[in-house]
Amino acid sequence: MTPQPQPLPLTGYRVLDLTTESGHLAGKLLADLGCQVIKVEPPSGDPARRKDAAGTPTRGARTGLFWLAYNTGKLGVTLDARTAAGRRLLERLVERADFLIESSIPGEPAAFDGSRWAGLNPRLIAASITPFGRGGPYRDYRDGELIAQAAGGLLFLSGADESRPPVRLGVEMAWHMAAAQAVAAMLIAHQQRSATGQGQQIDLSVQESVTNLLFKAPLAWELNGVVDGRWPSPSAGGARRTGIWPCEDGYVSWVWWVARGWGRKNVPLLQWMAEESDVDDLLAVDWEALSITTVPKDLVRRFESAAGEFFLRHTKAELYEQAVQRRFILYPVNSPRDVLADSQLEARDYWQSIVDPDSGTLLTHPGAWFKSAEYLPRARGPAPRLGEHNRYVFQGMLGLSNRELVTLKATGAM
Amino acid sequence: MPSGNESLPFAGLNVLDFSWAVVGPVTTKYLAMYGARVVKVETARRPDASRMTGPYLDAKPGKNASGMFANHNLSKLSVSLNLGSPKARNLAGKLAAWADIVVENFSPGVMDRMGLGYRELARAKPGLIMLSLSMQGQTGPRAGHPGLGHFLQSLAGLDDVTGFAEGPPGGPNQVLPDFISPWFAIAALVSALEHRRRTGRGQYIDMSQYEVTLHLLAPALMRCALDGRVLERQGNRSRSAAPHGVYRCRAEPDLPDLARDQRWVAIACFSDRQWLSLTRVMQRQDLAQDARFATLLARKRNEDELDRLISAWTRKRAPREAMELLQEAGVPSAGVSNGKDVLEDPQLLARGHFAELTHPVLGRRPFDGPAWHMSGLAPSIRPAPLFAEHNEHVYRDLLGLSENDIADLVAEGVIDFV
Repeated sequence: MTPQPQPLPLTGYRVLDLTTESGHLAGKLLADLGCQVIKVEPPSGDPARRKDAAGTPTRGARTGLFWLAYNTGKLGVTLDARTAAGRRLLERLVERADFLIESSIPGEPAAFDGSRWAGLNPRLIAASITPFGRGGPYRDYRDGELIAQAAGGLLFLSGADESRPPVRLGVEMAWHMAAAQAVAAMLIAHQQRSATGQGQQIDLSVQESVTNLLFKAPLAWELNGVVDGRWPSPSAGGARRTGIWPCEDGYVSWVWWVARGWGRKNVPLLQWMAEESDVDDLLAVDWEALSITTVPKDLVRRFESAAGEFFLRHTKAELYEQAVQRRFILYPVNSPRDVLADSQLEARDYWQSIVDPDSGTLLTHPGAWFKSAEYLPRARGPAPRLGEHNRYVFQGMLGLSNRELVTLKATGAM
Repeated sequence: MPSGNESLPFAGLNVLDFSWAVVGPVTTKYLAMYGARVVKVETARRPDASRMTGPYLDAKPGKNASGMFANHNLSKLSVSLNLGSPKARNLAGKLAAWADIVVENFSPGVMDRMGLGYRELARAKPGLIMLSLSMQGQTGPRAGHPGLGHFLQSLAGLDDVTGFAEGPPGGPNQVLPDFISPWFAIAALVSALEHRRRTGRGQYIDMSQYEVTLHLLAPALMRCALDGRVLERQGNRSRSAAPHGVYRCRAEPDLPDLARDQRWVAIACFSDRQWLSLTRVMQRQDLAQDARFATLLARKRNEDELDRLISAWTRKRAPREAMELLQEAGVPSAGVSNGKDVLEDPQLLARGHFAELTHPVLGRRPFDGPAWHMSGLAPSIRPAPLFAEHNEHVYRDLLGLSENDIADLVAEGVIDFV
């Protein structure tokens, strides 16, 4: 059966993207699936253009990698929603949109006017991403990635050193999760709309998106009166805190196992270790017969000490390769460099090269987020330049004349 | 059995769910909550790993006593089917023919070996949509390498970018990737349904959690590909804001030992204005005049001292107290919530985030609901099924097997209870 490339499944749907950096990923995913996504920015540009990798501010007028990564395949227009003319333009776009996403800062004058838009376009599915959700005692509270990770319960669980504060995840996890959940919610609403024709207003909380990432912390308290933290968890039965271990050229991720079905996973590693040093005592242990509560502490210390020394004598790549071949569970703590060199991703044809039109540089993007013989969801083109599609959208789509465009530009509405 | 789901988006959609642990079940949980009939296939010989993982009611392990399983399998039906039995294929095939969507997250190759691969199933059911979730994809040199959610966090670079600058890497001891992929999987499935509406065509979706998770790291990956640069870990600091960190609060005597001292508040000022508000809340107007902290650049230069000064204030307060004082003054801030804090969080309570449901074994408990409210659509959130709870309903009512058929299958060990 030869795969026939098919048109993307959401071809023909239009998305109005009013997000700030906390929501950019949503429009990108919808563009990957075939939607026409119109990214709206203020005339001076989205502040997220000034953001580079690891939250570093960009130098000069160059657009940062954050924007370039999360706005692929979108059309770019500018308008000032604080002016009457700008608001009118926005409303005309709303009338023609199938989906709308916005992430506003509560308390700031926002373009968002959900009930008015539902009046203009009853079929519209509009998702609003706010730090704590609309309504409730914290509705006007501000966030930032650190704040969101704290408020949702994730930060408490993060960071190996108990003598230091918990440490946040070094990516915009909360915001990207809120954006990804917004996409799921909008498509669930879309499924409904296919049957009923009705639109939907979706009110999404970044805090709740983070809470949805928690493995089991709330229930550990509820059922066992245990506070899960950055320490081995007694409520997880056979599973324990994972370990990050230094090796010759970096770190690897590995744990020892006990209990039925799991203890045997220690053996292939121990057999390899035995080729280099004496671990007969460890090989003689029946790991399956032990449990997390019965395993003797000095046995654990012995195993961890031997493994720790062993890892220091080998590289990440070697340890991973042997883990795959010998079938024990160990993974490298990959840096971006390691990920880019990963032969698994290479074999899957994962990376996507897109030219940044501003600089002419070829950028390497993460590619399709699933594989199917029908179509591939991935970036359809570069992120837009500021106002790049003003003419295409305002003239071509809305039918404004040249003169009207010039006036709008002169008055700063565009 | 009335579903009451007629007005929900996935009403009438039949989902056959072979998935286990977290990533597959969370995906199908949302389908179930929004009206799909999700039949979860389980076997007594190797119960879903999350049934065998705590937290358990009263810390006593039991197939139906796991809070984690209950949380991730809301609104589903459960049947037992011993896929290891030679006669199981027939019954599995009948279930597959009933299904519009099949979801699984076994190691690549397992479904094929059981004769339940996409090609076979689609022969009997053209238009079938099948989703296979896996750590690294169905193909490639490491497709079969075993692993669990946390290891993927290391593989996908999330640990490397997390940690203090002078220390080792390492993030949360969680299984984050398992909670990241479901949203992408839901998007893939709903758009597959749209595609089928348009073209009549089904498809096989091969989703690698590794490939999904890397999208969260795109800027760092692009930076490294461009000029080889990998930026240093920053702990809780920010290159574009100060103060920006996590500060110790007053100990909480009512908490268990390990957690008692782990009271913290996160504070971030993204503008000079917010910094000035912070000084007012701390009643340190002198700091507002202090040249060492007057600009972002100055605050970054003196950040250690800045953090010490803020700690002196936070140390005397409880996290929520500090948060509310600061937020009322417009300063971004949040207590670093533990599992107990999350359940008692005034905002999460006001939002009704946790669905209070009565589970037959666990009792009335708070379960994790969606992070959103929709204006005209509410999910149908029902407790997770007991093991094999719906054998009769599914095999007899949905598939049309007779009582004798079912009895034979039980006798043959195809439908297994122990």
